Amino acid sequence: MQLRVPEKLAMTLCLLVTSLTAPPHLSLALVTLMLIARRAIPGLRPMDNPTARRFRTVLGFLLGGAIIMTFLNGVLIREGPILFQWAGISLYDGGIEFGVRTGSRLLLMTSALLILFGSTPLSGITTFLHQIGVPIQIVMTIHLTVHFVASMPSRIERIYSAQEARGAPLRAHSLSRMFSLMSILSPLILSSIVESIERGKALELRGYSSAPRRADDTVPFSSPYSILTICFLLLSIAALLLPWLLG
Amino acid sequence: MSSRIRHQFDRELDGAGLPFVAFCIALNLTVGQITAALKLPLYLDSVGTVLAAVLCGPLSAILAGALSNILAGAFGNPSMMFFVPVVIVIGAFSGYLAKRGWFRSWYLAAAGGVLQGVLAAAVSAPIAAFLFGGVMFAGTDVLVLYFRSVGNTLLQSVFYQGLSSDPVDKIVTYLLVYFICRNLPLRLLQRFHGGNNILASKTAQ
Repeated sequence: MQLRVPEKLAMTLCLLVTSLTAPPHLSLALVTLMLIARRAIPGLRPMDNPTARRFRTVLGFLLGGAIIMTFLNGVLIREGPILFQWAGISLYDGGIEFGVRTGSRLLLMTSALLILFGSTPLSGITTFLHQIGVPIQIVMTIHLTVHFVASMPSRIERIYSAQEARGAPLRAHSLSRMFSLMSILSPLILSSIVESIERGKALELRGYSSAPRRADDTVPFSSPYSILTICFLLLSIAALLLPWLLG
Repeated sequence: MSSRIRHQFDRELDGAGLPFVAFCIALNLTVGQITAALKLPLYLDSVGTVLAAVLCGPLSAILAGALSNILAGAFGNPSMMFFVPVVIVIGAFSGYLAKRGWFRSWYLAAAGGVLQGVLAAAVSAPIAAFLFGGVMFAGTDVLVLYFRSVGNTLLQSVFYQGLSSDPVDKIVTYLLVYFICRNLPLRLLQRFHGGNNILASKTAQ
């Protein structure tokens, strides 16, 4: 089953809305269902191995964090009866319930967004945005950002090494390190301004301008409103309204 | 988008503006690498947004902030997406301050940082409290728990936690942007729509 970008976006919206209104057990059931769907449905599988690894790392980190935070909430928020007592540490029901509720909500939100971004190339999302009429400047900004993000770590590393070689106090006490921020950020920003000016010129030479688009500039449009998309959107509305209607 | 806003948006992103806003977003997303390397307990995750506000304008700053948080979701930090309203406020406020000349002297920039920090804490508190229950899986969560354990409500606890960290972070951010922009050559500043936010003080020297 191949899912298109609008269907995935509608599904993610539905899960995000549900995470805000659903009880913890439903959120955890949906997380489990999402993890199964991620393996079973080809359209939701990660694009490549690094993406799959990142998904596992982030989800593992969140799961660990949720357990620790639930425990800390149970200890520090003294509401409701004591569930467990050991070596002078008491776990309170109210704190545990609060921790489980926020932890399950965060897990559902995170897994929904990670599955969306892990299974959809950013270019697919920007093409869809272009199709539905998002200004070309925003679409181009996203493309350029991806380019800059990819090159930034190596740039920062080069500047850091160069400044360290020049004797900048990068390992001194905290105030000196704070001032060292300038010695790293200044060349980084200056070089990026120069690159931005060159890129701006190149864009203009290639015909980009901020003037309104001509009709034939648009990408051929295919309706995003498939039955699946509409179902997910209706489910989102239901998830939003049901708790309110049921009081 | 109304034609006036559209026109302003086009002017801010003209020429070098668009690639520079993209760089500012990338800076927001990767500045953590610098603070981690220098072992500084600061986020500085809105330095690109404030830079875009000063050199391009408020709409570019709003775009930079919003896209930073949305793309952070794509790069593995999905909870950032829910804080888009906060960065919109940061972008608009810093753009307004830049236009009013608050980046022409260091003390005004520092004062702007304090105001920005309080504003950011106030806007982010309801989101962090009601969406995430104050749990952001960061070291500051312990502060939220501490404030709750001494009898404050969840919203108060998250707000106090924000007040304890945001103003310092924003003062450093504003001062960094002030000193960086002040040291930029005139010929580079003139390339940007918001260059006038700095130029008046430089030409007066």
